[in-house]
Formats: sequence, structure tokens, C-alpha cells
Amino acid sequence: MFSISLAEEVNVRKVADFKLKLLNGKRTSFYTILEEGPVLLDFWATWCGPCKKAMVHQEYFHQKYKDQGFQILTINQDSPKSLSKVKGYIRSKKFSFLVGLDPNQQIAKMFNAVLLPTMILIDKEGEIVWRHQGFIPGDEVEIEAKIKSLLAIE
Amino acid sequence: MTRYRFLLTKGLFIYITSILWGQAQFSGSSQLKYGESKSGFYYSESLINTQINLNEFTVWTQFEFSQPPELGFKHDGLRKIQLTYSKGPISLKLGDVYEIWGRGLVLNQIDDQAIDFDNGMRGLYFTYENDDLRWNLLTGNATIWKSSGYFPDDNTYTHNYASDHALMGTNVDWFRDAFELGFSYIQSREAHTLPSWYFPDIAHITHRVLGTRLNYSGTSFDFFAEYVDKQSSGFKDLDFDRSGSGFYTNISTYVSDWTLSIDYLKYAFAHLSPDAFARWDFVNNYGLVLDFQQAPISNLLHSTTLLGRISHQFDFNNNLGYQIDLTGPALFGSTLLLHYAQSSRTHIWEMASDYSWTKNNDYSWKPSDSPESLPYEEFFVELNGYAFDDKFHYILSGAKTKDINDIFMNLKTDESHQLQYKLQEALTIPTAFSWHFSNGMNMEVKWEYQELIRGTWSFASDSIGTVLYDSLHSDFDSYDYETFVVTKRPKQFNHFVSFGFGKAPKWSANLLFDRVSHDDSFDPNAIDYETSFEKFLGKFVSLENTWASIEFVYNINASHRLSLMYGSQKGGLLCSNGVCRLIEPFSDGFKLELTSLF
Repeated sequence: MFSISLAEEVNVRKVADFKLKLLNGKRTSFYTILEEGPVLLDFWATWCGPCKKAMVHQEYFHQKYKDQGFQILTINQDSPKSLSKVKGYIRSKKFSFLVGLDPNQQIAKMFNAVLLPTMILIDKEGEIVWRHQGFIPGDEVEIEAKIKSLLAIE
Repeated sequence: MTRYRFLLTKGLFIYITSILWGQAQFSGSSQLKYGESKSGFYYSESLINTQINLNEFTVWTQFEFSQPPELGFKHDGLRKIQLTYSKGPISLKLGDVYEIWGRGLVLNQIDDQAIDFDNGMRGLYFTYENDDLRWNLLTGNATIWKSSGYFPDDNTYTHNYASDHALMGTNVDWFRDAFELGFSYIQSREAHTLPSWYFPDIAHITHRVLGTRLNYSGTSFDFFAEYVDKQSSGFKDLDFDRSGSGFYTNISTYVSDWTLSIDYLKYAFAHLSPDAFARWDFVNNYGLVLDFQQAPISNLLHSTTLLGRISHQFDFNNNLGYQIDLTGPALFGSTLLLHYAQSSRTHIWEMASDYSWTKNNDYSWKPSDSPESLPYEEFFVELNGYAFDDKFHYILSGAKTKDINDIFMNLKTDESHQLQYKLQEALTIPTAFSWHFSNGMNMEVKWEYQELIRGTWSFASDSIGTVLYDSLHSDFDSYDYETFVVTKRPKQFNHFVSFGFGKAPKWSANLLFDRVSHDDSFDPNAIDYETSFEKFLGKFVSLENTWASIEFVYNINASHRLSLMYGSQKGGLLCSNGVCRLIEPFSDGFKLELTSLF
């Protein structure tokens, strides 16, 4: 019924703006965050083991590249039934990157994030330059290479 | 139907014209799933999501082609569509709508395909939002499918009962610094089909749910509280009250990197007797908590296999409970989580001399541990972290759970007291260890161990309090009909082991063993076919009562991911967000899934 081409090319498109509630209670928009520089979106949930493994590296990238305007924006997918666990988890791990809340998966739907974790690298102009589904330990090497490439770091 | 056609036409119009103009941004994803087992079970399912953005307009569609899907009804064509117009403070959604107000005590709509639960609405959703205020209006229809043993054609693959709701509601949130204050109101006119073998009978019920909530987000603590009141009217031949209320609150305090979080809830939407014909029978006992009310629960959502299988089936109609979490950094860079939860009904159930159930001893705020109030208790501890230069990751956890999920008898007379209830008690130890090598290779071992007690507890005492019997009839006991010998098995010992290898970023493989000491299949006559893989492994280790499988995941490139499973999988309870469903075992077969982003 369908023929599928397994092309690696990323469908370059400009991301539409969206409103977002952050874990600290503040409300913002994606374009406001993007004004600071490129963003790595990371969709995760407290019940997703591979997501948690990836987040340790996201914190490392956040610390290492924030001075170049690079930002990590993790989008939490916990439903209201487990939403009260999110802040405690983030604090216990001392993560300092941005955490957005998406309890009804509206943002995930917008980015076609059907698996967790899904990572999407977006340049300052708002265009998607790289995507990745799932996390296997060692994937952080490729993630960092893509970040460095975007920031034009040798 | 007319509205649906209108939506479809409108969506397709934008879809086609935007592509023709070439001005639109197009993206999407697809999931192709196929599975087949020797027991005759098979599925073939394609899900294609597309999204087109054109200036202020977005069209999101989901097509499904299934013959049949893994769970649910087969479908060919458009499954979901949503057209969104968004400009400045105004947003308008038309089509399939999934929204959450507050923490979901009034409205929490989800489309969870893992358990085939969809409580979304097809209609119109309006939002006006500025810096101080958000106002929503909704109107539409929801047809919500569920499974019921009290309606014809009950089975484990497709739902057999639908309730129709015509919805209308509004929601307002005010924002002021760290505070949010919200009010919600929703009205549903439900067409509730009653079981009838001769003439279909429909009860037209009106539900009104009114809720208010307050949220504070601070640096040293967060606070949230929500209260809802529900009134239902228009019943046929039911003489009991269907008004009720729900209250949920959470307070989290932060000291250094430590968090103490307390959830407390009291849901009293309906008091259904423990009678098997009442408590779980939402077909005949209608007007209960509504399916689009998906409120928070007072226990952990477990993601490990063995704990997931004994998940507490939360009663959203009547529950009084709390949970306390303490989490923070521990020694050597690890993180510690301590969790305790307790819940029960809001009262105890007793039998009158004619064996009819009556409510007694209402608990105003604190849950009870008396078996007469169907209590649940859970203690969970987890330590996780990295070691050896972040190459070694570990999760060590343990859970003690006690769940009284049914009461069959509680008869108190001057002469005696007879009590009988269903008990499920477990000690579960889930662990996971992984090592990451510098060349991108990694290996992971998961081991879960469980000691499970499940059966019927019977107690009897005489008029002076002398205990006549107080014992468990285990579900795992076996009875030989020829020799009349009962083999006592008070506990089931369960193991779940997985060995994983992988090389980032390309592939990973997992070998999984799911073993029980005594088979407790809900269909004991089902044949568990032995896979050729199990036959091979069986030469080295005993694989009796073991479901073995192998999984392989290959990242073809950044946009395409292939996963393949071969073997057998144990069925049982599969829970997602507090909603549970029984899943049948999968015997000697394979499952294939290709996920693509485009």
C-alpha cells in the first residue's frame, strides 16, 4: 500500500512558534527561547529509563555550550497523574537546563515525537537540522558532534 | 456525521491547496507494525501522522490502516484530524481535541494507543490567552469505548461498550506572579446504552462538573489544590444519589537539592458496593466518574515489568489516599527516592443479615488499613546513579505492596464475624546495571525478582471473639482431582531478566526471560507454544513457565528506526497512566515495527 524511502535527509522546515509552561511556573514562547541561540529539544518522561540516561549528558552539553548561546530545552511528557514527581527529579539530579511541560503531548505531536526520548536540534533561525529517536549509551558522542557542527566548533 | 464530513473536507482542502502553493511546511511520522504468533494472533497496523503549517493555520492528521491493529478495532483511512488557527491571543481548534484543565479532575483527554483508551472529543476548542488570563470554550461530541463483562461480546482485543457524550464547557485561568487561579465547568449529555436482549434502551443523563483550583510555584515550595463537584441526573430505575466531589492537593518543599512532595486526594463521586455486580459494572451502574475526568492517583506509576504487572487498579469513583516522596542526592553522586503511599475507600463496607452491603464508618480525611475498606499500601525505595567516570549506571530498587482489591463477605452478627477478601501482596526487587565502553559498545543487565502472595483471605470469629479460622487460600495452590491432594503454594516466585548489548548509535539487542514459579495464565487452557529459540536454550537451562524473547533495534539513520522481536511474551495487566487493561500472552511469533520521521 505504501512505498517508503529510507532517506536520511532531514526535512528542513521552520518550526512554528508555540506557547510553553516551564517547570518554574513561568510561561513563555518557543521563539523567545530561540532568541538566545540554537536549541536541542529533548522529549522525556519520569517513567522513561533511556530518557533519564540521556539527560545526564544534556546537562553536560548545557554547561559546556551555554556560553555560545546554545540551550537545552527538555519537554516533559508526564501526565497530570505523575506531574508532581517532575520537579523533585530535576532538582535531585541538579539539572539546570530548561524544562517545559507538555502534559497532553501537544508539543510532541507538533514535532512528531512518537518515541521517547526524541531529540531535535534546531538552529537559531528555527529550522530543524537533526533528529534522533531513542537513546543508547554512546549516542551522546553523535549528539555532541551535531551540536558542535551547528555551533561551528572544530 | 455532517460535522465530520465538513471537517474532513476543510482539512483536505487546506492540505491540497497548501501543497499546491508550495508555501506550507510539511512534516510527519509513520509507524508500521506487524506481528504474528503461532496461537493465531496477528496484527498489521500503519499509523501515519502528518502536519502542515501554513501561516496561522495548522492541519494535523492521523491515518490508520490496520487489519486489525494490535489492540482495538480495525480501521482504514482517516482516524484523527485537527485544524488549528492561531493568531495573537486567539487560537481555534476544530476536529479531534485533547485538552487538560488543571490536573484533570474536570477534563483530561488522552489517546493512549498502548491500551486502546481514547477519551478525546470531536468538536471545537477556543482559546483566548494573554499575559494575565487564559479562557477556553469547548463544544463537541465524545464517543468513549471501554470493555465490560456486563455487555455482550466482551474480549481482550476490542472494546465492546461505548458511551456517547455531548460536551460543552468553559475554563478560565488567571495568572498573577507565581499564582494561578482557575475555574472550570463542563456539561455532558450522555446517551448511555443499557444492556437489553430485546429492545435497546438508552438512558439520557446530564452531568455537570464544576471545579476550581489554585496553584503557586515558588523557589522554596510549590502548592496545588483542585476541588470539583459533580452532579448527575436523569437516571432510569436507579434510586441512589449520583452527586459527588473530588479533591486533590500537592505540596512540594525544597531544601537544598532535596524535595519532599506530598499528594493527598479524596474522590467520592460514587459509592459502589463491593458486590461484583456493582463495583466494576459501569454499564448498569451508570453516572459514575466520567471517562474524561482522569484525575491524579495516589500511588506510583511503575515502569518495571513485574511491578507494572501488579499495578494497583485505582478506583476513581471512591478513593481516599496520600503519597509521600522524599528525593535527593545521596552518597557518591547517587540519587535516592523514598516513597510511601496509602489509600482506601472513604468508608467500610458491611453486610446486613440479608447479605446486602451497607456503608459504615466514614473516614473523613485519613485512609484506613482495615480490610473492610479495601486498603492499598506501598513502600518503594530506589537508588540510582553513575560510577566509574560515568561509564557504569545502576538502579537498585525495592517495593513492598499490599493490595486488598475486593471484599466478598463482611458479616457481623451477635454470634459471629465472617470476613473474606481478595489479597495481593508482593515484595519486588527491580535492578538494572549498564556499562558503557569507550568504543561505543554498551551492555546492560536487568534483573527483577518478585515474591507474590495472591489469594482469598478468610476470617471467622465467634461471639466471644475466639478466632475460628484466619487463613489464606492461595491462587497458586493446585488440586489433583484424581488423588484429591492439594499442593500448597503460598507464594509465586517471579523473575524477569534481560541481557542487552548495543553499539551506539546504530543497534541494540536484548534477550529477555520472564519466568514464574507457577503458571497463573488467565486462560489456563491456552497453549504456550515452545519457540525454536526456547528449544535451543532449553538444552542448557530449564525454561518451564518461562517466556523468552529476543529484541533487536536498528537505527537505519536519524529518521528511521527498525525494531524486531521474536519469541513469546507473558500477558497480564498492562497499565498506563492509572488505566489498566488485560493483555493476552504472545506465543512463538514475531513483531516488527518501523518508525519513521519525515
